[in-house]
Amino acid sequence: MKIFNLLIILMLFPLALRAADAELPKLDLDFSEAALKRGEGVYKSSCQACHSLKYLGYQSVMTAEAARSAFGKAAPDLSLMAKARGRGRQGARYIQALLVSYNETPEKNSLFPNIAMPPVFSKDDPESAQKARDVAAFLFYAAEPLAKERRGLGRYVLGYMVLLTALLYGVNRKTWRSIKTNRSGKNTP
Amino acid sequence: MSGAREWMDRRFPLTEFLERHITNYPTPKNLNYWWNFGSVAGIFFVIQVITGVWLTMYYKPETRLAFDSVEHIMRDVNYGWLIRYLHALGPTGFFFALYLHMGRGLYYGSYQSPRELLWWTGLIIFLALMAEAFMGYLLPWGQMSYWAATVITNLFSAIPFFGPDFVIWLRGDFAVGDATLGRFFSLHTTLLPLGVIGLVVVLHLTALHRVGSGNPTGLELDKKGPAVIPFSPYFITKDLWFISLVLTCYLFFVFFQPDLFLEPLNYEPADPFVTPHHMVTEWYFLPFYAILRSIPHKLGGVLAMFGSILILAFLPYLDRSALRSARYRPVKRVLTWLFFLNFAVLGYVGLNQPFGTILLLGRISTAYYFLYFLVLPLLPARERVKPLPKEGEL
Repeated sequence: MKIFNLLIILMLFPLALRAADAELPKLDLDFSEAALKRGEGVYKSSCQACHSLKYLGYQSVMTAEAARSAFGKAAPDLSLMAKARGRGRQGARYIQALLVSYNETPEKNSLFPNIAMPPVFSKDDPESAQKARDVAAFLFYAAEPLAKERRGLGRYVLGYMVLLTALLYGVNRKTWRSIKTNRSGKNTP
Repeated sequence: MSGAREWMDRRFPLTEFLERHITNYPTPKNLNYWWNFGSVAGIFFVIQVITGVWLTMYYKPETRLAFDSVEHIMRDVNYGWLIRYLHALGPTGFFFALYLHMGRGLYYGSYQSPRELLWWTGLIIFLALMAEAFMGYLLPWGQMSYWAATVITNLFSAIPFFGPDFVIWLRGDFAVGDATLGRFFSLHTTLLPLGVIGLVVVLHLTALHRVGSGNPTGLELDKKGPAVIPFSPYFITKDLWFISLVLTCYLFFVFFQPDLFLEPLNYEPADPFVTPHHMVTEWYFLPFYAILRSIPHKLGGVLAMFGSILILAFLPYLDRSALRSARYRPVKRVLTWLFFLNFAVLGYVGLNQPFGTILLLGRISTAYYFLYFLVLPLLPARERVKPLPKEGEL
């Protein structure tokens, strides 16, 4: 079984490297119900003017044509943005980092210098960091509204599978008890 | 009950079939756990077929609807998210099992006479599965779906004379589009899984049951001898608990870490006007992608990539050793472990951009990949083998 583990580690090695590729500031996230509710409000007041959230039924106020003439490109739909910008919570972290990286000089984002989007929150807004955090959490929810149900069901399924595996392992031990094997094939039994 | 059985047996060889292939199928008792991955791969095939049938009920193979229909499955269809994640992560389990299954064949010399057909039908399943996974990847119609299909179909333009026309024929259009999506959907859901993979799996099992399983010693065991036991119940319980273990790991990822195996960029709808900065394949294609990009010539790269799979078919003739198992062949043993390590290195190379050290590493690893097959025929004359155990001692 030792070589077994080694090979499994080797096969998972590329995945582990891939997970560590993005370089974003370590900001704290809050996925509480209250944060999601506040984030939805932030979306409506600060994002919906340009960005739709179509899988949740929100249309943007501005048309794609108007956005194109104002900013040079249409504002993308945000329904899946949190999944499109990173695996797991990485995508939410990306959105949060983007929103707080606008500098004093207007129209300039230190993390994404070429971004077409103007600053979302006023630089005088004392709540801008909180708003970025809340809307990132809300967009994380929006990207997969049933994620909570998934994890909830997953606990039962995994619990069941662990018990089933243990039971089947016991059954297998019992069937093989009468068979003497010498797997190395080196010595007589 | 026995009356029904008799009625059946007079018309159909049911009892005979069950006895021959399950209850009394002779199996070496010294099989280790590397011999379990064939049945694990089979289970993943069944999972893919069942979840695929359900996805087909809601998925829309049309460029304007495909992306939205996947999100409809994720959000509105009851347990649609579960069916879709099971199906999207299935190939990870399938290829994981298949690579270990093939690695076992390589290490223990399972391809040697009289198991050539077993090896070749297995390779056909592997190739068909690669095509199946590639075509299925287009269906969500995300950015990586679109560009992966564009880049891979474009490889065929390297064929001299008719290459560019061949690419148009493959795509059904000048660019990947609605015609491509329609044909990939059709092939992915009908001909490839049922007509090719399903059929060849039956041939693979039929060939297996003609020659019998190999075993870690590589000895050809007497089917009525002391080292052989019936499949039932010993290998039924052994397969069941091990499949249960593997499925537990698989379901952990399905329920708690599905994003780990799904490309983020594929959550953006396909856009023919925006090329992704960083093209990367699913993990199970990475080593072959690395071989493709290691050759500084388009046609050469394509030939090396397909050649790296095709060369496996020649193994029964490349390895002429009288001994099968690397356990008793010290040189083959070391070379084969290096081959596995090298394969993982190729995967790492495929994950990164092919510049500088990564490019050099990719070229060295590609060279070793092929060198392994060139050295195998030279081994029997020089290798000092270890003594084999006696059949009665197993």
